[in-house]
Amino acid sequence: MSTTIGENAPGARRRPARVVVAEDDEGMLELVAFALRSDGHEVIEVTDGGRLLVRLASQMKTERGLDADLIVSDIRMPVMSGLAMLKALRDAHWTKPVILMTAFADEETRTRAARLGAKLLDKPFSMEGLRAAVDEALLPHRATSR
Amino acid sequence: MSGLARLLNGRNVLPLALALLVAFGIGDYATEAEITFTLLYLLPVTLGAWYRGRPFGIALAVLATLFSTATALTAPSEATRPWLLLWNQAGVLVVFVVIVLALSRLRGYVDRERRERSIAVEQLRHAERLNVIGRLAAGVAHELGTPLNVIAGSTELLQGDRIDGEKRRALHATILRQTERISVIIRHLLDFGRRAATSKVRVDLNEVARETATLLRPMAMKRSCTLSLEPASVALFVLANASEIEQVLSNLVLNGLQAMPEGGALTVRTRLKDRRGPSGAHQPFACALVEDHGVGIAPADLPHVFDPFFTTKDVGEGTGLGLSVSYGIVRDHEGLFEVSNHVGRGTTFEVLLPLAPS
Repeated sequence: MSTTIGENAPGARRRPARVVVAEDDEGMLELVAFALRSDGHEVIEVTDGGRLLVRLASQMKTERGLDADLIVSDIRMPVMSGLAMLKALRDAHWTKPVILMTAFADEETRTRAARLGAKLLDKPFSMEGLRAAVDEALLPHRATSR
Repeated sequence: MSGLARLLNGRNVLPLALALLVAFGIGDYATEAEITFTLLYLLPVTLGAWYRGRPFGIALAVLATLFSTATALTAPSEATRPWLLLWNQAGVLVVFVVIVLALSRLRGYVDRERRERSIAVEQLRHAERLNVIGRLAAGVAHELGTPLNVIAGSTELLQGDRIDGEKRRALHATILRQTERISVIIRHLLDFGRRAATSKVRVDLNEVARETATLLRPMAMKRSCTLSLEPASVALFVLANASEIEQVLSNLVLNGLQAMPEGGALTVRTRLKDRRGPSGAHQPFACALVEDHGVGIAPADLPHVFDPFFTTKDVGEGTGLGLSVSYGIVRDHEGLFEVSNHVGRGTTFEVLLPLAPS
């Protein structure tokens, strides 16, 4: 029974990962970053898909390559949408997991996201739902790496 | 003709009718052209009946008959047969009264029609207003959804985890900020939905444009459009119904957004402009323009954009009433609409309102 308590403690169950959160809404960005940080993850906050790409592209040139384990991104953002950003990332052979948050998931969006290997997280979502999605997205990656 | 119509009103018609009666009475007496003047008397009588109503019209009819009788009595040819004269005058009076009754009845009908028409126009405007709100609703729903999600999420974090005091305070502050944000959105929507006040007050067009831009900016962003506001450097005071003008501008902005399905830049700009007014003379106007870089309007459609029920949008997207109602509102403010259109490059709709006297 003592393991149950240990699992619920922040950071105990989850191995810390580096997560990029892209969201144009300041309040939402703050909340998601807060929740992931309290789980022990390292969070990089960006307010737009375009900025995220620029940031990742600059990292790509370095020896370490793309230094993020997961991207959690809004779909509708002012300069570059989450889907366009994801497409660009996949074109650049970036294969790590992506979670797209959206309140407007029509059929077309769902198929495009699925084809690009992203998981959709429907808004509004609970923090429990967010954590579950993040954990699930990080699991297979950890299983395959190394 | 319009000058004459402006001269004739309930107040002016009283001395005018009396002056005409006296003038015709003198003419009747001097010339003895009896029939001519009996017909001419109809002019003040009908004017009085139309503009001042039945009692005044009948009073004028009686007065005219008395004038006509008095002048006829002085005529030598008539004095020999007084009974025939009285019979004639009675006939004249009856005809005058019948005409007065018919005219006042017609006037009542015209007034009622006019009243009903203005009520119908008002209802149409309100319906169109609700329609604009409907178009806003989808955007607003999302606008409310995000802060609600943040509040729910923050509460969940506060409940679930052992978090220290500082983080707790931060989450409380987040919740408070988000509720304020919701209040602002709802207040904007309520302001917009309120039935328009009928009175015109002195307002700064810059402020009206700012309100509109604030209300619609989130919606523009969700459609990958930027909505920028470029207010004039001077205050542009106009005598206007602010919520009606806001309705006009919102409509133009929503149309602009729909014209840019792929996103783009939309500008709301206000400025001072010299234009020939309805009276023909040059006068300063306060101008608010909405400029999009969308698909533009097909040249064949351009003459019809202000026609009621004209729309190129899909079913459910637009009623075709937005611009025609806007046109009516702007005309009520003695203002003008100007459109400049470049097919494939965008459209600019410009609303010009006369500056309020300082």
